[in-house]
Amino acid sequence: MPGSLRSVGLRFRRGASFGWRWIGTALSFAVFGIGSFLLGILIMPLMNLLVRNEERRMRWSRLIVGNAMRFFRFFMNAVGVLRYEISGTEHIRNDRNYLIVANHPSLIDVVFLLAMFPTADCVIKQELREIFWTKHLMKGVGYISNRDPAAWLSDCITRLRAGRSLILFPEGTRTVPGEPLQFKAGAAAVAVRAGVECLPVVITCRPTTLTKAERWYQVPERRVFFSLRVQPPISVGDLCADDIDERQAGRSFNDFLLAYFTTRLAGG
Amino acid sequence: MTDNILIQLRNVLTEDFDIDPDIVVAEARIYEDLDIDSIDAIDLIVRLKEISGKKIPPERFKEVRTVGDIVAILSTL
Repeated sequence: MPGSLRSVGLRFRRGASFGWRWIGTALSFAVFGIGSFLLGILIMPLMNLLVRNEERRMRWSRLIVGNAMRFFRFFMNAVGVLRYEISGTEHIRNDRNYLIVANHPSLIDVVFLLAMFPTADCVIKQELREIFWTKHLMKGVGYISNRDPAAWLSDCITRLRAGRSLILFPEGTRTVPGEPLQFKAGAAAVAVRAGVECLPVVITCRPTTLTKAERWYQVPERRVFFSLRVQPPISVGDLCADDIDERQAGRSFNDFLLAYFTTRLAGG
Repeated sequence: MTDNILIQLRNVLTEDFDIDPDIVVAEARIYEDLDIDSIDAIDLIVRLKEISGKKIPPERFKEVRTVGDIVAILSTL
Protein backbone atom coordinates (compact mmCIF):
# COMPACT_ATOMS: atom_id res chain seq x y z
CA MET A 1 0.00 0.00 0.00
CA PRO A 2 2.35 2.74 -1.17
CA GLY A 3 -0.40 5.37 -0.95
CA SER A 4 -1.07 4.92 2.72
CA LEU A 5 2.65 4.54 3.41
CA ARG A 6 3.19 7.90 1.78
CA SER A 7 0.48 9.52 3.86
CA VAL A 8 1.99 8.05 7.00
CA GLY A 9 5.36 9.44 5.93
CA LEU A 10 3.81 12.80 5.21
CA ARG A 11 2.05 12.86 8.53
CA PHE A 12 5.31 11.95 10.24
CA ARG A 13 7.20 14.69 8.44
CA ARG A 14 4.47 17.17 9.37
CA GLY A 15 4.57 15.93 12.94
CA ALA A 16 8.34 16.27 13.02
CA SER A 17 8.15 19.75 11.53
CA PHE A 18 5.49 20.70 14.04
CA GLY A 19 7.55 19.32 16.91
CA TRP A 20 10.59 21.20 15.76
CA ARG A 21 8.67 24.44 15.34
CA TRP A 22 7.23 23.97 18.82
CA ILE A 23 10.77 23.72 20.19
CA GLY A 24 11.80 26.65 18.00
CA THR A 25 8.94 28.73 19.36
CA ALA A 26 9.84 27.89 22.94
CA LEU A 27 13.50 28.77 22.16
CA SER A 28 12.45 32.05 20.58
CA PHE A 29 10.46 33.03 23.63
CA ALA A 30 13.35 32.02 25.85
CA VAL A 31 15.80 34.12 23.81
CA PHE A 32 13.40 37.07 23.82
CA GLY A 33 12.80 36.70 27.54
CA ILE A 34 16.46 36.39 28.50
CA GLY A 35 17.44 39.18 26.11
CA SER A 36 14.86 41.61 27.46
CA PHE A 37 15.74 40.65 31.02
CA LEU A 38 19.45 41.36 30.46
CA LEU A 39 18.64 44.60 28.67
CA GLY A 40 16.09 45.61 31.25
CA ILE A 41 17.93 44.93 34.48
CA LEU A 42 21.60 45.12 33.49
CA ILE A 43 22.40 47.03 30.33
CA MET A 44 19.77 49.76 30.45
CA PRO A 45 20.19 50.69 34.12
CA LEU A 46 23.91 51.05 33.43
CA MET A 47 23.25 53.12 30.33
CA ASN A 48 20.85 55.40 32.19
CA LEU A 49 23.43 55.81 34.92
CA LEU A 50 26.38 56.53 32.65
CA VAL A 51 24.82 58.46 29.79
CA ARG A 52 23.28 61.56 31.32
CA ASN A 53 22.39 63.35 28.08
CA GLU A 54 18.79 62.37 27.38
CA GLU A 55 18.98 62.78 23.61
CA ARG A 56 22.13 60.66 23.34
CA ARG A 57 20.75 58.03 25.70
CA MET A 58 17.63 57.80 23.56
CA ARG A 59 19.67 57.39 20.38
CA TRP A 60 21.90 54.68 21.82
CA SER A 61 19.04 52.82 23.52
CA ARG A 62 17.07 52.73 20.30
CA LEU A 63 20.12 51.52 18.40
CA ILE A 64 20.40 48.65 20.89
CA VAL A 65 16.68 47.84 20.74
CA GLY A 66 16.64 48.01 16.93
CA ASN A 67 19.59 45.63 16.67
CA ALA A 68 18.09 43.31 19.28
CA MET A 69 14.94 43.14 17.16
CA ARG A 70 16.99 42.46 14.03
CA PHE A 71 18.76 39.65 15.82
CA PHE A 72 15.47 38.24 17.05
CA ARG A 73 14.03 38.39 13.52
CA PHE A 74 17.13 36.56 12.26
CA PHE A 75 16.83 33.99 15.06
CA MET A 76 13.17 33.16 14.39
CA ASN A 77 13.97 32.80 10.71
CA ALA A 78 17.03 30.64 11.42
CA VAL A 79 15.24 28.18 13.71
CA GLY A 80 12.43 27.99 11.14
CA VAL A 81 9.60 29.39 13.23
CA LEU A 82 8.77 31.86 10.50
CA ARG A 83 9.75 33.21 7.11
CA TYR A 84 9.31 36.81 6.11
CA GLU A 85 9.35 39.14 3.16
CA ILE A 86 9.71 42.90 3.20
CA SER A 87 8.86 44.96 0.13
CA GLY A 88 8.52 48.61 -0.83
CA THR A 89 11.47 49.90 1.21
CA GLU A 90 12.37 52.08 -1.79
CA HIS A 91 9.46 54.31 -0.70
CA ILE A 92 11.26 55.25 2.52
CA ARG A 93 13.33 58.41 2.25
CA ASN A 94 15.84 58.93 5.02
CA ASP A 95 15.62 62.71 4.77
CA ARG A 96 11.89 62.63 5.55
CA ASN A 97 9.95 61.84 8.66
CA TYR A 98 6.68 59.97 8.61
CA LEU A 99 3.76 58.86 10.63
CA ILE A 100 4.19 55.13 10.06
CA VAL A 101 0.81 53.40 10.22
CA ALA A 102 0.47 49.63 10.20
CA ASN A 103 -2.23 47.08 10.81
CA HIS A 104 -1.60 44.84 13.80
CA PRO A 105 -2.26 41.13 13.11
CA SER A 106 0.24 39.71 15.60
CA LEU A 107 2.39 40.39 18.64
CA ILE A 108 5.50 40.01 16.44
CA ASP A 109 4.61 43.05 14.26
CA VAL A 110 6.42 45.22 16.77
CA VAL A 111 9.63 43.19 16.33
CA PHE A 112 9.56 43.75 12.56
CA LEU A 113 8.64 47.43 12.74
CA LEU A 114 11.29 48.27 15.32
CA ALA A 115 13.87 46.33 13.30
CA MET A 116 12.93 48.40 10.23
CA PHE A 117 12.48 51.79 11.92
CA PRO A 118 14.79 51.72 14.95
CA THR A 119 14.91 55.49 15.41
CA ALA A 120 11.14 56.00 15.31
CA ASP A 121 9.02 56.87 18.32
CA CYS A 122 6.20 54.62 19.40
CA VAL A 123 3.49 54.54 22.01
CA ILE A 124 3.70 52.15 24.94
CA LYS A 125 1.43 51.18 27.78
CA GLN A 126 2.11 53.10 30.95
CA GLU A 127 2.55 49.78 32.82
CA LEU A 128 5.82 49.19 30.94
CA ARG A 129 7.23 52.31 32.55
CA GLU A 130 6.32 51.00 35.98
CA ILE A 131 7.22 47.29 35.94
CA PHE A 132 10.75 47.00 37.26
CA TRP A 133 12.32 44.90 34.47
CA THR A 134 11.03 47.15 31.70
CA LYS A 135 11.08 50.60 33.27
CA HIS A 136 14.80 51.26 32.73
CA LEU A 137 14.49 50.20 29.10
CA MET A 138 11.48 52.47 28.62
CA LYS A 139 13.22 55.35 30.33
CA GLY A 140 16.17 54.90 27.99
CA VAL A 141 14.28 54.72 24.71
CA GLY A 142 11.91 57.52 25.74
CA TYR A 143 8.81 56.21 23.97
CA ILE A 144 5.49 58.02 24.42
CA SER A 145 3.26 56.76 27.23
CA ASN A 146 -0.48 56.23 26.82
CA ARG A 147 -1.16 57.26 30.45
CA ASP A 148 -2.92 60.55 29.83
CA PRO A 149 -4.81 60.70 26.50
CA ALA A 150 -4.44 64.49 26.14
CA ALA A 151 -0.69 64.33 26.81
CA TRP A 152 -0.40 61.35 24.47
CA LEU A 153 -2.00 63.27 21.62
CA SER A 154 0.11 66.39 22.08
CA ASP A 155 3.33 64.34 22.53
CA CYS A 156 2.71 62.51 19.24
CA ILE A 157 2.12 65.77 17.39
CA THR A 158 5.08 67.57 19.00
CA ARG A 159 7.55 64.82 18.13
CA LEU A 160 6.35 64.55 14.53
CA ARG A 161 6.59 68.30 14.10
CA ALA A 162 10.12 68.18 15.52
CA GLY A 163 11.03 66.01 12.54
CA ARG A 164 10.92 62.55 14.09
CA SER A 165 9.04 59.52 12.78
CA LEU A 166 6.35 57.82 14.83
CA ILE A 167 4.83 54.33 14.56
CA LEU A 168 1.11 53.95 15.32
CA PHE A 169 -1.32 51.06 14.99
CA PRO A 170 -4.65 52.71 14.03
CA GLU A 171 -6.47 49.66 15.38
CA GLY A 172 -5.19 50.47 18.85
CA THR A 173 -4.94 46.77 19.61
CA ARG A 174 -4.34 43.53 17.72
CA THR A 175 -6.68 42.55 14.86
CA VAL A 176 -9.46 40.12 15.69
CA PRO A 177 -9.19 37.44 12.94
CA GLY A 178 -12.27 37.03 10.79
CA GLU A 179 -13.78 40.34 11.80
CA PRO A 180 -13.79 43.55 9.73
CA LEU A 181 -10.85 45.84 10.36
CA GLN A 182 -11.65 48.66 12.81
CA PHE A 183 -9.62 51.83 13.26
CA LYS A 184 -9.76 54.17 16.22
CA ALA A 185 -9.73 57.90 15.58
CA GLY A 186 -6.23 58.51 16.98
CA ALA A 187 -3.77 57.79 14.17
CA ALA A 188 -5.68 59.77 11.52
CA ALA A 189 -6.14 62.71 13.90
CA VAL A 190 -2.40 62.72 14.65
CA ALA A 191 -1.59 62.67 10.92
CA VAL A 192 -3.93 65.58 10.16
CA ARG A 193 -2.81 67.71 13.10
CA ALA A 194 0.91 67.11 12.73
CA GLY A 195 0.73 67.65 8.97
CA VAL A 196 3.26 64.96 8.09
CA GLU A 197 3.17 62.30 5.41
CA CYS A 198 1.75 58.92 6.30
CA LEU A 199 3.79 55.82 5.47
CA PRO A 200 1.45 52.79 5.41
CA VAL A 201 2.86 49.34 6.11
CA VAL A 202 0.48 46.51 5.22
CA ILE A 203 1.26 43.44 7.32
CA THR A 204 -0.02 39.94 6.71
CA CYS A 205 0.70 36.93 8.83
CA ARG A 206 -0.44 33.49 7.67
CA PRO A 207 -1.54 31.40 9.43
CA THR A 208 -2.42 33.70 12.32
CA THR A 209 -0.13 33.54 15.31
CA LEU A 210 0.08 35.33 18.64
CA THR A 211 -3.18 37.20 18.27
CA LYS A 212 -4.89 38.32 21.47
CA ALA A 213 -6.70 34.99 21.63
CA GLU A 214 -3.63 32.76 21.10
CA ARG A 215 -1.11 31.73 23.74
CA TRP A 216 2.56 31.29 22.95
CA TYR A 217 2.42 27.47 23.01
CA GLN A 218 -0.38 27.35 20.43
CA VAL A 219 2.06 26.84 17.57
CA PRO A 220 0.37 27.11 14.13
CA GLU A 221 0.03 23.94 12.04
CA ARG A 222 2.12 25.48 9.25
CA ARG A 223 5.21 27.65 9.37
CA VAL A 224 4.23 31.30 9.73
CA PHE A 225 4.80 33.61 6.78
CA PHE A 226 5.08 37.31 7.49
CA SER A 227 4.86 39.91 4.80
CA LEU A 228 5.44 43.62 5.34
CA ARG A 229 4.60 45.79 2.37
CA VAL A 230 5.69 49.40 2.66
CA GLN A 231 3.39 51.56 0.52
CA PRO A 232 4.11 54.91 -1.13
CA PRO A 233 3.73 57.79 1.39
CA ILE A 234 0.34 59.51 1.53
CA SER A 235 0.14 63.28 1.84
CA VAL A 236 -2.81 64.02 4.11
CA GLY A 237 -3.27 67.56 2.77
CA ASP A 238 -3.96 66.28 -0.74
CA LEU A 239 -6.90 64.21 0.45
CA CYS A 240 -8.74 66.74 2.55
CA ALA A 241 -10.55 69.78 1.18
CA ASP A 242 -9.20 73.09 2.46
CA ASP A 243 -12.51 74.28 3.86
CA ILE A 244 -13.09 71.52 6.39
CA ASP A 245 -11.97 71.73 10.00
CA GLU A 246 -9.47 69.50 11.79
CA ARG A 247 -12.16 67.29 13.23
CA GLN A 248 -13.81 66.57 9.88
CA ALA A 249 -10.43 66.16 8.22
CA GLY A 250 -9.40 63.60 10.86
CA ARG A 251 -12.59 61.66 10.40
CA SER A 252 -12.44 61.62 6.64
CA PHE A 253 -8.75 60.63 6.67
CA ASN A 254 -9.58 57.82 9.08
CA ASP A 255 -12.28 56.55 6.68
CA PHE A 256 -9.75 56.76 3.87
CA LEU A 257 -7.09 54.82 5.82
CA LEU A 258 -9.53 52.11 6.85
CA ALA A 259 -10.66 51.59 3.25
CA TYR A 260 -7.02 51.69 2.11
CA PHE A 261 -5.92 48.91 4.46
CA THR A 262 -9.10 46.85 4.01
CA THR A 263 -8.59 46.82 0.22
CA ARG A 264 -4.93 45.91 0.43
CA LEU A 265 -5.48 43.17 2.98
CA ALA A 266 -8.29 41.67 0.91
CA GLY A 267 -6.05 41.75 -2.17
CA GLY A 268 -3.64 39.34 -0.40
CA MET B 1 -25.27 74.30 39.92
CA THR B 2 -25.51 71.17 37.78
CA ASP B 3 -27.91 73.02 35.47
CA ASN B 4 -25.25 75.63 34.81
CA ILE B 5 -22.70 72.93 34.08
CA LEU B 6 -25.07 71.24 31.65
CA ILE B 7 -25.63 74.54 29.84
CA GLN B 8 -21.89 75.13 29.64
CA LEU B 9 -21.31 71.63 28.33
CA ARG B 10 -24.10 72.02 25.79
CA ASN B 11 -22.47 75.22 24.52
CA VAL B 12 -19.11 73.49 24.08
CA LEU B 13 -20.61 70.50 22.29
CA THR B 14 -22.63 72.75 20.02
CA GLU B 15 -19.88 75.20 19.14
CA ASP B 16 -16.81 72.99 18.97
CA PHE B 17 -18.32 69.68 17.93
CA ASP B 18 -21.24 70.74 15.72
CA ILE B 19 -23.74 68.80 17.79
CA ASP B 20 -27.41 69.75 17.74
CA PRO B 21 -28.11 71.42 21.15
CA ASP B 22 -31.52 69.75 21.40
CA ILE B 23 -30.01 66.28 21.72
CA VAL B 24 -27.53 67.29 24.43
CA VAL B 25 -29.55 66.14 27.41
CA ALA B 26 -28.36 64.41 30.58
CA GLU B 27 -29.46 60.96 29.35
CA ALA B 28 -27.74 61.24 25.94
CA ARG B 29 -25.00 58.64 25.44
CA ILE B 30 -21.97 60.54 24.20
CA TYR B 31 -20.46 57.85 21.93
CA GLU B 32 -23.65 56.47 20.43
CA ASP B 33 -26.12 59.39 20.45
CA LEU B 34 -23.71 62.30 20.05
CA ASP B 35 -21.19 60.54 17.80
CA ILE B 36 -18.19 61.53 19.95
CA ASP B 37 -15.07 59.51 19.10
CA SER B 38 -11.94 58.88 21.18
CA ILE B 39 -10.20 62.00 19.83
CA ASP B 40 -13.30 64.16 20.41
CA ALA B 41 -13.29 62.90 23.99
CA ILE B 42 -9.68 64.12 24.42
CA ASP B 43 -10.50 67.48 22.82
CA LEU B 44 -13.54 67.79 25.06
CA ILE B 45 -11.47 67.25 28.23
CA VAL B 46 -8.96 69.85 27.05
CA ARG B 47 -11.71 72.33 26.10
CA LEU B 48 -13.56 71.92 29.40
CA LYS B 49 -10.34 72.56 31.24
CA GLU B 50 -9.78 75.77 29.28
CA ILE B 51 -13.28 76.98 30.10
CA SER B 52 -13.81 75.85 33.67
CA GLY B 53 -10.25 75.30 34.87
CA LYS B 54 -11.29 71.78 35.92
CA LYS B 55 -9.41 68.83 34.50
CA ILE B 56 -11.33 65.58 34.41
CA PRO B 57 -8.84 62.82 35.29
CA PRO B 58 -8.47 60.44 32.29
CA GLU B 59 -9.28 57.37 34.40
CA ARG B 60 -12.59 58.95 35.40
CA PHE B 61 -13.42 59.89 31.83
CA LYS B 62 -13.12 56.21 30.90
CA GLU B 63 -16.23 55.51 32.98
CA VAL B 64 -18.22 58.23 31.25
CA ARG B 65 -21.17 56.99 29.18
CA THR B 66 -23.65 59.88 29.18
CA VAL B 67 -23.71 63.67 29.22
CA GLY B 68 -25.06 63.38 32.78
CA ASP B 69 -21.91 61.44 33.81
CA ILE B 70 -19.71 64.34 32.65
CA VAL B 71 -21.87 66.84 34.53
CA ALA B 72 -21.67 64.68 37.65
CA ILE B 73 -17.86 64.52 37.50
CA LEU B 74 -17.50 68.25 36.83
CA SER B 75 -19.76 69.10 39.77
CA THR B 76 -17.54 67.11 42.16
CA LEU B 77 -14.26 68.68 40.99
